[in-house]
Amino acid sequence: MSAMWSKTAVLRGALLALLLAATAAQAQTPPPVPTQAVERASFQVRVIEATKGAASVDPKLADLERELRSLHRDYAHFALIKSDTQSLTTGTRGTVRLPNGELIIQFLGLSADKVQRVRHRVEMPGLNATVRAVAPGGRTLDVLQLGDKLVIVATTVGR
Amino acid sequence: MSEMLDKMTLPDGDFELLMLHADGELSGDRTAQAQQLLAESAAARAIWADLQLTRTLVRAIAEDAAAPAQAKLARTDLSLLPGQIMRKLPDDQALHPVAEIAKERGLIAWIRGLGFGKVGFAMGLAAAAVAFMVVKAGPVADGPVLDQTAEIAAVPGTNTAPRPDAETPDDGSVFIEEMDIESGGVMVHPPREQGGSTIIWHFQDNGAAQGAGGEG
Repeated sequence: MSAMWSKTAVLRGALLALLLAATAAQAQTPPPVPTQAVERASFQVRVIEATKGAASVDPKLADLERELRSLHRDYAHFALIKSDTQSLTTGTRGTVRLPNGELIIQFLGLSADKVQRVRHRVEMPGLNATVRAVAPGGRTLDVLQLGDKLVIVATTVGR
Repeated sequence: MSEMLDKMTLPDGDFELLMLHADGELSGDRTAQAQQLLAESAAARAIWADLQLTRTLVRAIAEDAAAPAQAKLARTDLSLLPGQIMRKLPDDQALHPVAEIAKERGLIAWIRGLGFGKVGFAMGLAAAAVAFMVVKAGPVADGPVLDQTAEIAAVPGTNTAPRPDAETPDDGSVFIEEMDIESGGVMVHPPREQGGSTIIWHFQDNGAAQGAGGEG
């Protein structure tokens, strides 16, 4: 009888140990991480140089011609120096070489507004940094005078 | 540096009093009050000196501005003041109505015409400042110079502000949420037409940029 009781006690003890082990294992299992979609945005960057030469606009800048011509009364010659499209994920940075240093674009993520805007930080070398929220398709022209030239950075934001 | 702190901590009411005094818009009692402030406060005197310099520059620019296009040019040139610091806007000046700006005259009108409710000046200081603001850079119609001013809203203590949701998706609208100015100044021009670019001029302290704003 005692042997039988002993076997029952051992069996119960084993079951209890199994139960505790299972509970402990479950407690140590990390909760499932919700899959988060990687946000991505594209930045088409064109670096343009404006000088006071004869009036002309690079044919590759046809979509900007009207705005460039009205930018400044003294600068009439516009040449495309560089064109690059950068695809960035949240938190990553892209750089653009300018004559006075590197312009940095950092994608901060999409805004939670009804219109999802692309939030990004633009650092102008040695001058300032701005955080911008731009709806897809939006465009900015950053203008800086360096010597006798204007350096214009045309940035078109996309998704 | 302590001088700068004094300037930055001068009560808004006193700052406003000095600006109105600079414009000659105070009554007799208020004029006496402003003069007393100048006599007693070194910070007030430092700001007064800045305001006088600003006024001189504005007057010189304005005298050259005969045509509207030149006036726009003059407005931009004002941002070339060295060490300009944009301060956080007080609540009551958020979304300052353009019509009211157009009615104002003098130094305050010029400064507000820049698009900022309040501007602090720290001449000769390469100080960094953060202006928490949102510039609504939607398309604007051509019109008087001051009508080109971008609307600005600000929420104290945060770098975001409520934005109108009237835009449709993919409208290309641009908001400047935050500016961190290391040196020089920044001027934002909203697009002139739907689908146009928001133009952001970056000025250096040496006043290199001239004539921003174009012919319009």
